[in-house]
Amino acid sequence: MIYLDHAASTPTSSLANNLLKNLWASEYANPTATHRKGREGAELINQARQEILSVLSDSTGNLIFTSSATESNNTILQGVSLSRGDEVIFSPADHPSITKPLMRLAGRLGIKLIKIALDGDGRVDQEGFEQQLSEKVRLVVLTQVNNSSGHIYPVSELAKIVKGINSKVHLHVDAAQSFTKLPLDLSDHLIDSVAISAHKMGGPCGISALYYRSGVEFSPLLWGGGQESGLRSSTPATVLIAAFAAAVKEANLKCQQEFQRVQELSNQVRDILSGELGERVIFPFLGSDISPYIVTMLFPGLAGDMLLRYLERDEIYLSSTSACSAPSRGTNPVLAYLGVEERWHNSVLRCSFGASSSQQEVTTFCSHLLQNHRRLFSLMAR
Amino acid sequence: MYQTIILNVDELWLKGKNRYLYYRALKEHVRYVVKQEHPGDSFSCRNESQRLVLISDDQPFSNQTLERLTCVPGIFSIVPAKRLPLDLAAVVPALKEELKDPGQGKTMTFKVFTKRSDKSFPQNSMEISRLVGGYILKDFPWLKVDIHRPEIEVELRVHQHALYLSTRKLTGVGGLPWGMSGHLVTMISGGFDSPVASYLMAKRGCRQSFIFFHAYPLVGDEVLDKIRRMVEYLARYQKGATLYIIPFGDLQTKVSELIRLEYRTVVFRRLMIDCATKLASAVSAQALLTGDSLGQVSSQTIHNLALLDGGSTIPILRPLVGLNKMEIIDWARKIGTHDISLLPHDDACAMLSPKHPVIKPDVRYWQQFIEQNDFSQELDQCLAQATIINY
Repeated sequence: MIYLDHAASTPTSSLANNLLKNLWASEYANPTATHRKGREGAELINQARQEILSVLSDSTGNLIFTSSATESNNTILQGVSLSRGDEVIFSPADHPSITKPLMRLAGRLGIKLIKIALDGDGRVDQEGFEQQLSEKVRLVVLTQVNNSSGHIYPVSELAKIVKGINSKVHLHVDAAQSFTKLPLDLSDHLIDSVAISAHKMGGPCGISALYYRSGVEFSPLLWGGGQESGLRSSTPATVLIAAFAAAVKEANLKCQQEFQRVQELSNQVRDILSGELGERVIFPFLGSDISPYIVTMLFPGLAGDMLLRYLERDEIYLSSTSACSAPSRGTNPVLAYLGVEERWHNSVLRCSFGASSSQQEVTTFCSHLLQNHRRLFSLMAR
Repeated sequence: MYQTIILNVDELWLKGKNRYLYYRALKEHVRYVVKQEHPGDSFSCRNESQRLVLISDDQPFSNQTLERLTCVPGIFSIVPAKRLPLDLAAVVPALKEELKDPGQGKTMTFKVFTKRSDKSFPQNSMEISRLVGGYILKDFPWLKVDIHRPEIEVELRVHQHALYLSTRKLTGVGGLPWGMSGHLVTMISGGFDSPVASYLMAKRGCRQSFIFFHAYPLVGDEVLDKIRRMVEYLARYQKGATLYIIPFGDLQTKVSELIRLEYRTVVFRRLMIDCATKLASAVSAQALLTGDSLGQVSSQTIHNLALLDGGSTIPILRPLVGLNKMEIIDWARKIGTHDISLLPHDDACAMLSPKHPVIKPDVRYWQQFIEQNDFSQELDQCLAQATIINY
């Protein structure tokens, strides 16, 4: 079995796995309870919180645990104070947990949504972006690594521009695909909030977090027992949180080394497939500002879904689009916004790497892909 | 809520000495429905004056039961009724439970219609209608008589042991009881046509087993949700049905690599018919059923249909052969399959078919291909790997 869909969800690291096994049976107490058993859990959680904050280089910042990056994004988008006439800058290529709440807010509150200025290749056009930052802009959302294309937004650089022009803007970063894969230094306190997710980087599914800079205010999404400083009522999942922090620590230590290794895997896929298929494969997103963890490929004349199923039969798993927008068919608005011609939207495959990905896997994957491509390409009626 | 339902039968009066067999089949289907809807309840289903009278000894029959009976082939109409003693004075009190004053001084029109199958009753039908009409006018001041276009039809049936009163009637599918016209293997696809064909032959008393050819990995598993939904819907007209999902993608891929491009669709159809014939033999069905309409698409030209029939060892029924597409879609709307058919799905035949498929095949090439390529083993394998779902 070869798994190349790590951007959708990646296996838990061995450290996180061991922790889950060891703590699951014993750490059942409610960490908000006042007895010793509860306090033990609370201690584990606070330790995890500090560890993650230290990876984010902001020990004065705050971090609340949530169930998913979707929840973290929604908490900020629905929690920061916005009113009629306010402007919000975002990208239609952002994850649906950003675009959908924003569309809803636009309808309900009468806020104006502004699509971030891009150049022809899907990169942020900095000059255009500067011009968009009027006084009316209250919120800017940036995705550090796009889940469909792998585009890397230089969030620290863009943060300087945003705050230099309008210091009142709330700047939110979705780092679900980039956390512990790319550096994210929050020590300059220019970024106001960040959504991170455990199951994209070796932690367990069902736990995520929302960082917010000291002094940032927003209303909670969930009301109840007042856990997580009153900003996320729910009994915290002690064991998941501890495993999340363990995975963060482990991945962060290997961040640079892994980036180099995955860059080689990414190059290997491109080299093999381009060499064998020539014009029958297109890599629409190339360059140094594309995350090596995500390789988007187009196969003109073939349906990506079909190729995916043939690979699935060979026990090779990847995706034909981002998992969160998988049910949509036909025109893909994200790809359209990123400049991919509509006739190719159904021919997309996304391969994404994780800690377990190896050169051997890439070689086998490419060989199966080529074999299936050859057969299907000659089979398709033209 | 009614404890009595009268089921008027369709065309069984055409039958002669074997009529009892049809009634038996119809009764069995009705009992099957009632047992499913009212498990454990005691009820009877008797033939009274060539009508089936369904009487519950426990809870009244639900609206869902009435609805399901409208799908039982062989039933012309379903009349939920009140069973009264053979006394016309009992009609008005019973009607008071049935009819509601619209209020605000509004009036409604009615007509009394009587059928007297027990001729020993002292009054004849006309007299009964007149008498009961008089009672109604006296007790329901908001009702006026209109014998031509009444808003309410009060129907009285005088049987030997009871008087049945009803004010509403549901239309059934009619035709012949389930199973009386044999057993078919219905080739179902995701489109509009085959479900309509299935309905039409269910109406003619055909028991059906459904076969679907699933072209995974050429198409995804999403289509299966649609097919399962469709067969579940069509099973309403059956006394239980079975769906056979045949894995067909690999065979389609293989045969595509062997045959000339323009013959792909026809050869797929031929293999499907061969496979369905094998299934028919395994489940003791006598014929195949398809939704073919002559000339609708290239594989349905008379020349191509002739090729397909030439290879079949059992009859292939095509009830839609003379219908236009819009007529078929109208039928689909009428029977409720339209919206399910409309759900999008991938079609492997469309993916693999050329822009210009063969319309008038070269019979010599075809014969040669069929003789030189025996897919019997592959078809057996497909059947052996079928997923079987019972409804």
